[in-house]
Amino acid sequence: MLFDSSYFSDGTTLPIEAVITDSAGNEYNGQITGPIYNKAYVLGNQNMDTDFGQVSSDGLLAEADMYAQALASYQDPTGSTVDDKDTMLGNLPTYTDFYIYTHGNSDPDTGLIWILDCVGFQNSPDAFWLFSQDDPTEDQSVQAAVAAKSQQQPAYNLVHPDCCDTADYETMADAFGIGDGSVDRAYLGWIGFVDNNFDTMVNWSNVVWQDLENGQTLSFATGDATSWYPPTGDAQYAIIGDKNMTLHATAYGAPLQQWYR
Amino acid sequence: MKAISSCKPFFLAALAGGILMWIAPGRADTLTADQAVAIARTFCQRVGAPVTVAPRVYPPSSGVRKMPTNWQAQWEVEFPDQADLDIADPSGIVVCYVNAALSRDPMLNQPMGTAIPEAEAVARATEIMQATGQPNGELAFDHAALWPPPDLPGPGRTVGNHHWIVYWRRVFQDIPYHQFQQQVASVGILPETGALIGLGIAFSTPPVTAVQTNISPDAAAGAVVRHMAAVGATDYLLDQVTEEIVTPVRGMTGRAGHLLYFGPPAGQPLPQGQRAAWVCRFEGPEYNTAFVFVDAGMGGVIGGHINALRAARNPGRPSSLLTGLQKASEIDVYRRAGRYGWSKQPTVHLGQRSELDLFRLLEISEGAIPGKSASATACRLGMAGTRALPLDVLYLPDQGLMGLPGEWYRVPAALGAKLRNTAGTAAHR
Repeated sequence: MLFDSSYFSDGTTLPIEAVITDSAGNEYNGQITGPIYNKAYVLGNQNMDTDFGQVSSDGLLAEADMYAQALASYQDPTGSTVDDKDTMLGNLPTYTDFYIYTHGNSDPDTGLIWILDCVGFQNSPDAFWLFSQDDPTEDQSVQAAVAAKSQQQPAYNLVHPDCCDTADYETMADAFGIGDGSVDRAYLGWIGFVDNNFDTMVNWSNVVWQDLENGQTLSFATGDATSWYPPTGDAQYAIIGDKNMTLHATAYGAPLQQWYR
Repeated sequence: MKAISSCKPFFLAALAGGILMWIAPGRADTLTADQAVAIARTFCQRVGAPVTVAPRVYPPSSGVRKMPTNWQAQWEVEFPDQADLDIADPSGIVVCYVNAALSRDPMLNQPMGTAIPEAEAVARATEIMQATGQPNGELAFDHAALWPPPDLPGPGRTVGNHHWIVYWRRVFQDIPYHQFQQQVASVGILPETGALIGLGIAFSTPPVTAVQTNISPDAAAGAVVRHMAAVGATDYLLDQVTEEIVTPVRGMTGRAGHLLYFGPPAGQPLPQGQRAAWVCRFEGPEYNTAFVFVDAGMGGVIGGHINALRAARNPGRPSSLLTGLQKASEIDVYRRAGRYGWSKQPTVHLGQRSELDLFRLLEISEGAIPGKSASATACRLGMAGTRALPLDVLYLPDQGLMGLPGEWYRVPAALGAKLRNTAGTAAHR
């Protein structure tokens, strides 16, 4: 069963009545009631070098804060520009949508992808590591955190690490439990180096989330954003998972004790 | 459906023919709703994606587009689940189109197929751009990019990630507008079929009507180097100077405590209106590139910005740039055509194993960033067989280093000789 319930706030009680007709024409009625689960984790690195554009009389606003403001219209986000790696790992099981604006990179030899937390610098050793699953000696912390979701915490719906190289390989999407076979769930990342200019690349992401919030598919949202703000530089976006997905909350069905999207 | 800005009053009206239109008082639109819909329908027909459902129409005054990037007022015409178009008022140019039907096609999750050739993609995109009504005189073909390149391994190799994107730069009498000030047009098509995915004509300002060029690029470069020293950007090296149309800005780039300012001195007015400028490009640390504008007519810095990358570096591992160089199967080396420009054709093509092995010997320099007074040559390496990422690098023969400020590699002597013989001289280092 699929329910497009993205307009419901986190915690809303959602009654759903189902009428099922079998091949003999017999009707069966059933009702399930459950809480909406709709939690987005929106993060920005506070140490990004970027172009603020025109200096305004209001002074400069940290770009990470701009991001948090821009995406705050999405239902019930939790935003942060100060969470470090350990805090993020501790929070990962809770959420169903994940966005971060930061630095990233990848290693073509290992398929490793790493991104910085909210306080790391480009050369910082405090990176938020996402390692290849091919190497069991490497850090598996993200996989472990996502795997630690309880039965009351549904799987990730959309993961969008908005930084360099996050779609060079599948390892980061894998860590969040998303792959090309995922249905109605997706991972949006970049292949290659992403420019960090405000006029284009920041607005690209804003259009994507604005369209998603309005119920469009991820494919439409990225196409719309690319039409208005064709990415500068060499970066190409890539979607791992379901290109036709929309933003969803999930409803926990009491009778069957499972999550419905 | 797009979000409606909450600050503008509007109401829904039903027009003849089943058209629903959002109406807001206060602005006199030149086109009528029927005209906007007719333009949209004709465009969809011409590009091979006809629409069959009743549209929803939002006039320019409805404020539907929260972040419009075209300077003209726009009608939004939405054919639910089929197409979404923005029509400029009064010109009638289709400045944005998204194929909503295609975006919901389950085919997008299927493995990608064979792409049509570049020439065919460009011809198809050019037909589509002509159908928008955008005057040709403002467009200069820039390049076509296949996403992802055929030889790039990686995830998501599905139809939904497969795009030909054809780019045009906006020009005035062959002078390009500065691309980082929203002056680009693009068309995206599905490589398997040539179907239109979407297009945008993101021209953020009215067209310029006249420009003046009174000062030389050398004079501009000198002024900019002094400006960079004055604002403390001592680890930026001048790489290129080109004439472009810019909008003057007081530009601020960086982060708290590390801000760089590009613009007229405090107390001096900012020139108003677009104009020709010498745009001086600098390579800086941590993958940063700086663009500083010098008024080509009057002189003086009138704006600029830094284009940073969202790229982290792992101190314990080689960067992906270095790894790419080391693993390249072919490398083209380009020479400076003049003091500030680059040749379009490579001077040297390196394809022999023995030549490429020289790049395998590159090692990260653990030393400090070389001083800006170092003698340097500049070359551009185009890597075939790996990610197609043109890379401008500096070669410092007296220090045996190659790379960008902030990321330097030790160069074997034989490779150094090859770079020294092929690269052009870098000015104002």
